[in-house]
Formats: sequence, structure tokens, C-alpha cells
Amino acid sequence: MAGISGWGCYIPRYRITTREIARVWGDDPLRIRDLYLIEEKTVESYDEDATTMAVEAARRAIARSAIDPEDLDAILVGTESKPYAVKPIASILIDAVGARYNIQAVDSEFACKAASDMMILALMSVINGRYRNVLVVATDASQGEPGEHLDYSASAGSAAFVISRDNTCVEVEDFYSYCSDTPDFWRRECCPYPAHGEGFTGEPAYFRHIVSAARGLMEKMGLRPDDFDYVVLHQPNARFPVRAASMLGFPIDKVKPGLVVDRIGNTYNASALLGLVNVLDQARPGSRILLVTYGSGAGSNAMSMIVKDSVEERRGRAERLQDMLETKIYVDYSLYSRFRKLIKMLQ
Amino acid sequence: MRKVYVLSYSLMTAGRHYDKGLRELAGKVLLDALERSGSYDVDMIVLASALSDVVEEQLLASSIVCEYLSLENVPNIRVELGDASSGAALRYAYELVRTGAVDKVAVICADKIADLVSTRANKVLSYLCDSTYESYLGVTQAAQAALMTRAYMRRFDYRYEDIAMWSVKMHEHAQNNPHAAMRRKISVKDIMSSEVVSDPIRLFDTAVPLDGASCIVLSSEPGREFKIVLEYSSTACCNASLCMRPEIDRLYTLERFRDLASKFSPTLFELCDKFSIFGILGLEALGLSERGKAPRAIAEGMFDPGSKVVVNASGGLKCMGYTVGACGGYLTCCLIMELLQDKLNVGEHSVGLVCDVAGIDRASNVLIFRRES
Amino acid sequence: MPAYTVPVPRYWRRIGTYYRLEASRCRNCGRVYYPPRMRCVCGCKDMEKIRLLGGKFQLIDFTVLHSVSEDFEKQKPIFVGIVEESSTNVRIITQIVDVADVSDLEKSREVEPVFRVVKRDGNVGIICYGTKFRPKIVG
Repeated sequence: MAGISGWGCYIPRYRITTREIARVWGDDPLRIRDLYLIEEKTVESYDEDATTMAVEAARRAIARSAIDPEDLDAILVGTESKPYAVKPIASILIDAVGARYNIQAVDSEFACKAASDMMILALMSVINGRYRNVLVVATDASQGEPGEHLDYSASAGSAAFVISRDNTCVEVEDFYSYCSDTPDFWRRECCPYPAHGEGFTGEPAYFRHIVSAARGLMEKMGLRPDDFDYVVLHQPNARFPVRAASMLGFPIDKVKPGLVVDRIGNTYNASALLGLVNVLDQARPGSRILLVTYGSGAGSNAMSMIVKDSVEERRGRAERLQDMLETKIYVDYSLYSRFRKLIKMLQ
Repeated sequence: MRKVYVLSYSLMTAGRHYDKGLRELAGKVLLDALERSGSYDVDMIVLASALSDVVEEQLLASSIVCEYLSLENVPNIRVELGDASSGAALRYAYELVRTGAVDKVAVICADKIADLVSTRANKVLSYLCDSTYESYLGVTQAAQAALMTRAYMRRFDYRYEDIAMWSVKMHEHAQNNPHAAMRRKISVKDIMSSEVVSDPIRLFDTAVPLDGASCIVLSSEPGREFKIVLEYSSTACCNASLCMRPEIDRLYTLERFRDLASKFSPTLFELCDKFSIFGILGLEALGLSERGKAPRAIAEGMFDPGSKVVVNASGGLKCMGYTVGACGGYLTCCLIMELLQDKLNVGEHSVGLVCDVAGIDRASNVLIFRRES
Repeated sequence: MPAYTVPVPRYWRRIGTYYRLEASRCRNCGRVYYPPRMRCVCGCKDMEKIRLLGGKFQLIDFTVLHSVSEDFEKQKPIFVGIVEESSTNVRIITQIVDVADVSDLEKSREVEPVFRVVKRDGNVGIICYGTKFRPKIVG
């Protein structure tokens, strides 16, 4: 059965604490922490963007998979923060990872969900035998309006997976999608920051789609929360996934290994997938993982995966997310503004 | 082969000549030099300029300069070898006269850089590095000079204060040079408290980019006022990136001129010192000082005016300014003035050597002048 | 057309050397060159393309450059270093990033290549990418 043959991730080394952001914007840091349960978030350096992080994560996934980059048949990217409005990240990845040129490459957008859609399309393409290996990259360096809710969480990171027919270390058993027209969060063309419906992003949006997709998948597969060792959910903050897991009947200890938002913030397309990376960095062979992503607008993809024995031999082929979490450089809001180009300049 | 004489020369003090373009700078020194040569007749004009196209967006700059002086039929050419354009142009002119191709040639050494704001100037000067692979990533000449300085300091256990003594000495020398742009005395403390350019190099320890021009007229016949022979000229190259060299704190091109020192016995030297480390390594490369010992020799005043061997009595590029493609012209004019004891009186000397350096030791030109009685 | 300054072909033709650190190796004597050369110092013209990207790199020395050129005005100071790839001994003069403190470089001398933006050509032109280096995570 098809699945993941290699995984990798990248987060910038720079961090800002939510306490520092609250200091600048006149919020109570304790209330902010209580609201989002986020201690700190990653900050892309001046010379980083969604493309550079995608390259780094992709190279690590390929290293873990140990395939020749020339054996990739497609490169599929999910992002909502493309550095170019027109000109794909996937095209840059071809040359940066050293793939063949006669392959399919495309960027896709569905808020924070597109990368998981690409995983499903990649799975189907390897299951039907047309492709053997597909590189899927989730990457975002997302921006929130300074001082607004999103400023406390929107961060930068990337996760990448090689989806393969053979040579897999994680088998994807099945998947299930749930989508509707629910405008909880959006960004209009040429507008630098997104807008959202605050509380409306919760019940009718995040919770409804996540829970429906997860239940749909479990029902379809005839599985119950007890059958899973880990549950990894989209994590715009740490409160939402914990509550959604509880609504689904998962105990907190099955959520925790896949919860990284408290230390890196919301990495959008990479959000749940960095949680998955953290689980793959430590899960015992034989473990079953429930992954549910979410993208505003809105929709969720649920996937059930089984970790195979070969996961262990691949861990050491690239740095673990944990290593990256521990290697950090704190910046204050001034440097943050400089790195994120929030200071108005002529160009 | 014919003898090559210096017929005349002229120079203007380098500075921020905002009111003058390249044609005005070059035209003025050419006019002065030709007038001093006794005649406007000249067979060829050679313009040494590294930046005419980059700063003034002018190709065929030598033709524009000739037009400015109504030298409408004089053949001309521009020579570019980065910040060693002057030495290369002088060598070319020397060969033209020596071989009999022309009888009288005027070499103009001129460049403008002060029109550019500092970060733009830094970028343009980084073209002296490999633009595609070095400047692309922000590497500049100053950064490479800093790496050379660090390597040298580490190898011979020097402090930066020891290296900066070069600049202190240059400012001492420059007090007697009417053509030095910087004539104020400075101390090691002044240097150490100036801003960092590229660690450990500090601002007061670098040659400031300035506009400048000079002109040297070479001829197969001597003039009436003096007899100075351009006796020898050569170019040496090291066409490899700094980091590919066995030791980064050496000037390999200058080392190849070491034998000349014994062959021609020069006692006057004008060396490229766009950074102090270049002056120090130049002394060692030419054999004027033992390897690793130049900073001590400098501090002891071994090369000061009045000594047996005098180096950079002009104050060097440090005090005359970093005029990019025009640097070698200043060194040459000052050496001629020293040989003639004209305004720059440093004692009786008959043979002098000038050496300019392109980029991070990618090329250097040597010129040896002898005063005949 | 909106104005931009970086001529695209000048960047495009370097993608192999900028992204993958493609170097040339002499088939006769084994010397490796980055930037690539067409002919080796040994005289041999039979050069093969190799990739330095997966190699192990060590920082040889560095300087903190404050007086930067205009493309790096908003990033100053920048770290300029010489790094050496251990299996080929090829040395590259490059930019070092993600430096928390200068003492970081003194202690941690193993560096790794990272894919980064080198220059954004105004608001209209292309984004030029390339390889910089940074201290590798130890342990």
C-alpha cells in the first residue's frame, strides 16, 4: 500500500515570544497566553520566504526517503504565502532538489489545507500506478496584521513528504474529506493581511469540519479513537486541537506528541503536518495516526496512517524537529519588524 | 628598443569633485601635462579608468576627453584593469614608445566614484571581486581584505593596533605632500575609535574613495627640465579567488617582482595601500621586510623619509585617496616628484619603484623609474 | 513594462551553481573548482560536474562586514566567511547567516549550506535565490 517514504521539515531559527508581541501592542501577556496557549513563534529571517523553507524541508524529506531526486515524478506544493503572485514555488523546487524536468509541478491554494490535498492526490497517483514518487511540500511564511490576533500566531515553517508506491515507512490506510462554503478567514487579492470572523472561525468552521472529517473517516474505516495511538490536528493555536480531540473522544496524551504550535506558532499549511513530523520523529512502529488538516473557507482532510518498522532507520538521516525547536535565536519586535519587512520603505 | 622618458606630469588633489565630470577631471590634467611637455602635439592618448561606464555610463570615454580638449584627430584608447588600470595603461604606453610605435603618448589616470552614495559605491567596488559568485552574496573587497588581515594577525600574533600603524605612518608622511587629500595627523587611538568597516578593519584605516586624475606624458626623447627614464614595466597576475590561494595573507603577484629590487636597486617605493594590510604585505612581498616583520619595521620608522629605503613618502593611497582606476597615477606622479625632489623632498634617490594592485591581488603592475643627471 | 534591474538570463544560467553548488572536477588530477572551470591547472580539459551540496563544510574564517553593498543594506551587518568542503578541499567565500552571536562562530565551526533569498529585485523584478551557510546544529 502507498504511503510516505520520507519526511522532513524546516523552521527558521528566529523566535519571538507572545509576551514580547503583547508588550508592544498593549495586551496582557498572561491573557494572550491563556487565549492561544502559544509561548513563542518562529520568525523567518530577512532572507527567508515560503520558497527557501520549502527547499530545506524538501531536501530533508528526500534524504530520509533515500530516493534519487531524479526519481520524483511530481512536485506538489500547498501554500498561501507564495513570494510571487504568479510563478510557482514548485518550479524552483525542481532545480533546488535536482529533480528531472519532465515531471509535473504545481502550487495549490486552499488556505492551510492545500498541502494535505496534494498528499491525497499524490497518494492516488501512486496507487493508480501512474507515478512512483511524488514530493509534497507544505510551506508558509504567513502574515497577520500587526497587533491583530494573527500577529500572535502566524509564523513560518515547512514540512515535506515523499509519497511513494514502494519503499514506504508510513502506510496511508485511507482518507476522507469534508468541505463547504464557510468564509471564516480570507484574504482578498492585493491585500497584505487576511481578515477573519473571530469567534466564527470556531464552531461553524474549524470544529465542524475537523470533527466531521475525522468522524467520517473513522466511520468509513470502522475504527474508534481507541484504535489510534496519535491524533494530529490542524493547530492555529493550542486550544482548538485539544478541544477538537476531546470532542472526538481522544485523551490528551494522544494529542500532545503532535502538538507543536505552542513553540512555533501557526505555520498554516505546515501546521498539522509539522505535528505529524514530530510524531514520525518518535512513534513506535505499528502505531496508528489520525491526521486531520483544516483550511479556512473551509475544509478538512482526514487520513489514517500506520507507522512501519522502516521508520526507525530513516530518522537519523536528517535533523529532527526537536533539534530545530531547541536551536533558536530570540528577536524583539523591532528585529521582527525588520525581518518581516513591516517597516515601510520605498521598496 | 628605445629608451622611454617621462616628459611631463600633472595631478590634481583627489576629492569629492562634485562640479567635475570625468571629462573635466581628465581634460584638466591632460591639458596641464601637455602644456608642461612643451607642445599639444601627442601621438596617442591612453585613458586609465575603471569606472567610466559604470559611474558615467560612458563608453569611448577617451574619445570624449579628447573632444573636450579639441584633440580631434588624436588616437585614443581606454585601459581597464580594475584599480590597477593606471599601471596597466602606463605599461601599455611604455611598450608603445619603447617599440617605436609612437613617439609621444599621454597617459591619463582618472576616475569618479564620489558621485555614488556609499552603499552604491560599495556595490560598484565589489565588482573587483567575482561579481557572479562573490559580490552576488555580498562579498566585498573590504571583507576580503579583512580576512587577509585576520589571517596575518593570527599567523604572526599581531594586534590590530600593530597593523593600523601603517595608517598612522601614512598620515605622518602625507603632511609634506601638497597633493594628499588627508594631511591631518592621526593616532592609533583615532583609528581604533572609528567605525568598523569589516572586522577588524576600521574606517580610518582604509583609503577613502575619491574622485581624482593625473597625467603622465611618456616620450622617446627627454624634456628640457629633467631626465627621468621609465626603465622597466611589467605585470604579474594571480587569477584565482582569494580563498583558493595557499596562504591568503600574501601578495603573490608582488612576490614575483622581488628580483627586480636587487636588479635595479630602487630606494624609493610607492606601493598600493588601499588597506593597511596591502602596504604591509607589499613590503614583505618585495623583500623590503622579512615575512611577518613589516609591522615592527614600520613602527620603527625604517621606511620614513630620510631613511635608506623610503616607502610611500606621499602618504600612499591612504592619504591621497582611493581613486580606483586612477590610484597608480597618483603613486607614479608622487614617485616622480620624489625623484626630482619637487615639493616632495625625501632625500637624494635615483631609482624608484611603483606598484599598484588590482582587486584582491589579481594583478599588479610594476614601474621602475631612474633619474638621469 | 514595469521596470526591473536584474537581467533574468544572468541569474537563470547560474541556477545549477547557485542552488546545487555545482562544481567541476578534473578527471585527470581530481582537483575541484567552485566556481567551475573549463580547464584545470594541470592542463586537463576533461572536467566533470559534481555537486558540493551534500558535503560536509567547515568554517575557515569569517569577518563581520558592516559597510555593505546596496543589495544588503537592510541586512547589515553581514557575516562573510571562507568555508571548506572536506572531501574535495574546495573553498568558497560566502555569506554566513543565522548567527546568534560572534562567539557562535568561534565555537561551532561546522557549517551547513542553506537555501536563501539573495536579492529581491525591487517590487517588480525577480527574487534571486542562492546558497548561504550557517552554523550547523551540534549534537
